Amino acid sequence: MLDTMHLYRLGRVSWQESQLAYHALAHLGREGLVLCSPERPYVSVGYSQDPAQELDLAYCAEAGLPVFRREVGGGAVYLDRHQLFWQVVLKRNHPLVSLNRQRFYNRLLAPVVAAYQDLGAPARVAPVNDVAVGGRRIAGTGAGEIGDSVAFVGNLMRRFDCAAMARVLRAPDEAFRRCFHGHMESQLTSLRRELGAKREAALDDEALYDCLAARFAEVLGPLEKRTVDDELRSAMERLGRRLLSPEWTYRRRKPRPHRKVKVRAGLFLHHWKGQSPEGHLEAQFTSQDHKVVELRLQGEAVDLQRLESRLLAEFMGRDARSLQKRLSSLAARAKAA
Amino acid sequence: MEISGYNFPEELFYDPEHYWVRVEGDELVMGMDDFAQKLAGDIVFVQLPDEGKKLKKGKKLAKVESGKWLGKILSPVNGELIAVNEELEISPELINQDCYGAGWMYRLKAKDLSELDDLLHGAEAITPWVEAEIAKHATEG
Repeated sequence: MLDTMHLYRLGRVSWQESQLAYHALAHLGREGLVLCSPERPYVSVGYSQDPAQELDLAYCAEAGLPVFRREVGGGAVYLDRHQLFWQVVLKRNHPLVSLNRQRFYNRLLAPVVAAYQDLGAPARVAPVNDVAVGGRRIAGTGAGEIGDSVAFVGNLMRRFDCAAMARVLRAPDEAFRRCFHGHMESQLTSLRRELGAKREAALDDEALYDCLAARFAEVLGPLEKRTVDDELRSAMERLGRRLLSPEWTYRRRKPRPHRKVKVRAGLFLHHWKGQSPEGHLEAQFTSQDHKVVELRLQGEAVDLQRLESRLLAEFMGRDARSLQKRLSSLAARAKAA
Repeated sequence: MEISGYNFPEELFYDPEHYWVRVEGDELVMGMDDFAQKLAGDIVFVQLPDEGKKLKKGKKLAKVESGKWLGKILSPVNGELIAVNEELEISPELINQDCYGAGWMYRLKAKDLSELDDLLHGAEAITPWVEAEIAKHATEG
């Protein structure tokens, strides 16, 4: 028999609160489910990401988009009020928490899948931890061990602004950004897309929260409504001083030659930058289920087209990691020369 | 030694959180064991704290990310961090490729080497522990 779990149905909150509430619960070791959405758009990056390498920070500043680095894994994401956040905080020793991450995700994503189905979108879990409808991603998620707790967070996507997402991302050139945007438009979906604009607009946020809460209660046990109390409020303020500081947010990381941006489970856009024996070389390629499906080269090689044709012939449809190895070996040869 | 498809070198010490420890003189080398790296999938990030960091047994040493799960690495002993595997900054996948070799993570100096007695060591201790872990985590359900 599971203990009663607390439900924090916060509704529309400041962008800071939309992140700090679950971080604070986790640090306090208090289990609960938080449901909320941010009153203004912002960008969140994963714990291990360097915002300067992942985002177009100049654009974010110009557009007035705050950046938050969360204590949860995953990649950069554009967030706004059309996404209803669900954030589950469990103790590390909770029976649902397993070293078998797939099992954990399957159990904790079941309520989200069921909620989408209740609303008319035939969703399913797309391993590792996406939710998809007809092969298109409809929710991104992330998990992290915070304090003695585990936080698992994601969203119910009413609408998703693919153009805004593509714009905030740092891109080596406009072709990369266009390619990413195109993949996002074709590979992502939302309640608006699945149900139609009229039906989606008719859905009330409160009804969607009801649906999520009911479905999560089936997995987490009975949910008891709570409000943000003094202990939680002061933990959020304390944490905010750290997690909203530039030192935390913009922590630098050594640049890596290979960058991978996720579009949906199994579909990634890659960018590799380095030296070839003939000079600077950049490769942009797309992998689907680990296989190379697109490749484009740029750089100073005398016969760039020939090199591109050769790599295409050799690696198209083959494991993306073998292409990465080949590019690394070109860089190693250049270094040796 | 192999236990149901997982490699567990018998000479190493194992933390129940699935990190291995090897004694090299008066220093310790640690990394993630084969069971954990297989269950984790592709490792995409390993935090490499500054050398000299004071370590408290059972407390956070660093963080590691795989399959969008950001997990904690707990220190197996009290002591100090004396070196990190810098290669993991660029190539965290070394843990998946060679978890007991090129994918080592940290070099530590233990305050008291007798703390190793708290870890699992020898076939008699390792085998039942790994079998129980497989039953608990590695089966479908």
